[in-house]
Amino acid sequence: MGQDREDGEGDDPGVTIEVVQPPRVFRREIREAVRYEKGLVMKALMVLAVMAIIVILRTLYFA
Amino acid sequence: MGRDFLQGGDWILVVLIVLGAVPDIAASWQFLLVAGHYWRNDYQHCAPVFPRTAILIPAWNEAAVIGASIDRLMALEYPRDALRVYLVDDASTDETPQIAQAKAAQYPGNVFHLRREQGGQGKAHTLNHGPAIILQDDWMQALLITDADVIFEPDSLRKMTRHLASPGVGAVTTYIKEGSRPGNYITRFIGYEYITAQAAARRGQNVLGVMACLAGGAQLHTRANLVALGGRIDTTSLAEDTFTTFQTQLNGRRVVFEPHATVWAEEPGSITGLWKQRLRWARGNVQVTRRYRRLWFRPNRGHRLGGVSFGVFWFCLFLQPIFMIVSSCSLIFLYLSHYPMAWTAFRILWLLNACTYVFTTGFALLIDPQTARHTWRQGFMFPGVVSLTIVLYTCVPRLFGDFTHEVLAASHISPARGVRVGAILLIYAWPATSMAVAYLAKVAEPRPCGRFISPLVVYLAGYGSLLCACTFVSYVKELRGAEMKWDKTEKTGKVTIPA
Repeated sequence: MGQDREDGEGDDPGVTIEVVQPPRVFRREIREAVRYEKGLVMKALMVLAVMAIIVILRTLYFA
Repeated sequence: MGRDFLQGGDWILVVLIVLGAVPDIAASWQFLLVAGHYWRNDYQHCAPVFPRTAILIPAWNEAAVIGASIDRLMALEYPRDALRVYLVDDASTDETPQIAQAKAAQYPGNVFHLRREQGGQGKAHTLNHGPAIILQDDWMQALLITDADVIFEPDSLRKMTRHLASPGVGAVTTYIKEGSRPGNYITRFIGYEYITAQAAARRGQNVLGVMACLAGGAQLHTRANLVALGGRIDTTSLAEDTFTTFQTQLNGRRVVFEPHATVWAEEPGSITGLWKQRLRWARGNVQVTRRYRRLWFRPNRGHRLGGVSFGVFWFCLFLQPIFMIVSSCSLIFLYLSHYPMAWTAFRILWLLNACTYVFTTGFALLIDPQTARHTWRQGFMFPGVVSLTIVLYTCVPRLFGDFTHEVLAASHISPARGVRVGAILLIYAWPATSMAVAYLAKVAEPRPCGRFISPLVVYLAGYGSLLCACTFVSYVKELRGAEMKWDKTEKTGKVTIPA
């Protein structure tokens, strides 16, 4: 079964669904994937902060 | 009047110079979109689906790799009765047919050997031999197109098929990593490049809802999508993967990138091999740009290929050599007409380049730490030593200037004015000339001592400049209507999946 769809079937009639993976394993993998993407947000902010510090230091001391 | 015109012309030159930073700024925008993938992704529509999947492998003289690849496919975490491998043997002259037949005997009902007696027409022709047979019955529900050297991680296929439960998805692609071990400097540059071009860029494209290209080594299509494509792959260009991707989206289906499904491929380990591969890709991009010329920057309800951001990303990559040449030429003209302003424009250009370099390099290494562990040196050296020195000089001119003066004074060298002007012009022209210097690495490689000189030249001029040189040559080849030749990348079976 899909997470949010009753029959878990895409709109493509060529694809029928066969569920052989335990739902909890599937849900865990999705959770891990989403958590990784959340981590990338933090990493982006971290790099932006480093960049800002470099720009400030450059402006104040090395211009 | 004359001076007024000159001043107006100067400002135009300043704008053209700063435009040289636009491709890097666009790359930064694409990297920023990566952060948006947390909010805009396809996971809420996924379901654990396992359609009957036909795996299509075009092969020409792939004896070194094909056996291991098939074994890996048979070891996928996927129902065995929902998996078939079709190896399309393009009239191989090595042991490929024997290995394919042995694997067909080892995995009866799962591995099939399809032989073309007349080969050599290219990958797309070879691929089309498969769907013509596979579509004859209704067994196949999804088609995975891959390459003979590609090694799938056990969970990769099921992580791709879960997206087929999502409304409107026509195709799914995955993260291809460079897997040659121990590899060399070129494979490590490619490894880093793939973080930026796949793990980062395709996440950004997921956020925009539009995909530029399905990876040739791992593209999963629904049966309906394949049928809508006419049951065959485009054979009129050198970029059949990109045409397939565009056509899928023009047919109203979405293309999704799954970054957590990983496959490993062997990429060229020499500049000569890399050049062949990238020239084919770059010429294909020229063909795509021309074929879909009425599509760019024209938003459409049916697809997002005409979106502004997507168009900017496409053309910044496609026209990067032009941006570099125009910027360098403008800087030199401005130096000749108004050198103080040239110095200011030069600093603005390189400060922008410095900011984008820090952001994209730092973030890329954090996006895929596993790959970054063995490619971080190449990541830092991607622009080349000369460009990095200019970045450093622009960021800390005072320190750099003091150091230079001290070195010159200690060496009792007092450069003549002509030498100083020559050095300045060389630095101003560097974005354009770096491509020519990088091209020398390609020329030098097959010659005596080339294996020592070429890496030095690549590190000096930058791997990015080497790719830009290749793009520039692709314009020339397409303008001259050069023959569309399929130069196959040699595979040796060096791919291993890291523990």
